[in-house]
Amino acid sequence: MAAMVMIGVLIFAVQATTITPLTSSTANAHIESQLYTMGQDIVMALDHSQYDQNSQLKQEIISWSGDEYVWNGTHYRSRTNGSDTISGPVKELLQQTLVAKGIAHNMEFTFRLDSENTLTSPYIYNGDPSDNAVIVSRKVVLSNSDLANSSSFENKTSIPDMDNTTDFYNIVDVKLTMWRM
Amino acid sequence: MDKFNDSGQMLLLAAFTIGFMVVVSTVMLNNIIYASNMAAESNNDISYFEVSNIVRMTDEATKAAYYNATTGSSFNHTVFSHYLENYSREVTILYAYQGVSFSFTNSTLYDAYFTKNGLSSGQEEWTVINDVNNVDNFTMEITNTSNLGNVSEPFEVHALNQSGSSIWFMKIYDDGSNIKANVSNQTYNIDPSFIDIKGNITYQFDNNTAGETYSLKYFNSSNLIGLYSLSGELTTGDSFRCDRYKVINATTDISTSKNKINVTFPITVP
Repeated sequence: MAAMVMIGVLIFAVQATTITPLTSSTANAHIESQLYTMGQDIVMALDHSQYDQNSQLKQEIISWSGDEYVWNGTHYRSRTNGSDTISGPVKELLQQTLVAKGIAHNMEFTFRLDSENTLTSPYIYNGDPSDNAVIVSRKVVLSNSDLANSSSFENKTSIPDMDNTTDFYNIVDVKLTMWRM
Repeated sequence: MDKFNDSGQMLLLAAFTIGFMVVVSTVMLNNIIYASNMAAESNNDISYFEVSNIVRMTDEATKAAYYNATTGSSFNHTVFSHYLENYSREVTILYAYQGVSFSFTNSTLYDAYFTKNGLSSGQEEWTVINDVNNVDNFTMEITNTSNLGNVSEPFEVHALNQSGSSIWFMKIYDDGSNIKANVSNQTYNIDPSFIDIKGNITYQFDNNTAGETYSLKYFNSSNLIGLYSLSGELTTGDSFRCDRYKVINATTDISTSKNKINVTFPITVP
């Protein structure tokens, strides 16, 4: 009887220790680290530019309608206007990397409204992130010369001109939140 | 009596067993909780990613400030400084939310070398642009000829086709009395203050590059101090513009409670 109990305990101990410490699936620090690196690579690639052209990330902010977009299986579709979808390199890169790997993601734009207040607006929203979500942020400088019409841009996006004396407009912090489903 | 002794041994064994199971369970749960609470980025205090973002932003802001300061008239230093002060203030506030202290200072503008980063110590042999379909404008202004080499060590600009062969070149050098340009083995005296490579048909840039996809490459570029302006169309159909007028040294100090980074890097404008 005693031998049976001892064998049972040993089996329990062996089974228990084989599922620890790094097999906690989506909560795994290595998974988070992998997501973090992937997110950095995505936003760095999107923020690349050459030959006096805007980066894709900056172009995405400039052409933003102010709406929130949700992935519907094929497109990022606006919540308020069903025919309005995101197209271009940002959509393609997110689709080929995050969507293809089943990684849920949100993208938000954070910017200063005045000397005291900051606003965060969702650009792509696919639900509330889990406790083990990873956030990668990339800051983008906007100048008046980047915008065709700064007042129209402010009306659409609520991103204000922080300096009326020079061409400096604002800095937008693009936050990409990723988590495993 | 023997029966009671056996019961005692079973109780003792059960106590050890329960104790061992509690220890194993505690270790296992501790490991899971520890792993799930370890933020992936917790060991990245100031990462290369943040530094690259700061360098990129500062580069863009300086270029935009220069553009703003030169719009419509000659260089307006007040506008240039105000733009960068506002930029610096906003970045400082944004990083303060992350517990990072940021400060930014810049040097005065000075004439750039034709090297990759605009400094005399920069890379001398570098490709200015790839996959060119045609060029609308290509001019150079040499503001300081003191660094020009002689005929055996000239500054060179080459148009290279896709197999790497030179389809057009210009060599600029000082023969001791004049500044000369050797274009496709023809030598001319030139005015270094303005060289219109595209517009001057003597240089036959268009004739030699028509119908080709080519790149433009500089050699011995630390020989030249001044500015260049290049624009046109890529094979993708996109337009391009590569101008180099001045260079400025930007210095950023980034510090947290754990460490401090001081980075100085050259920015070419516009």
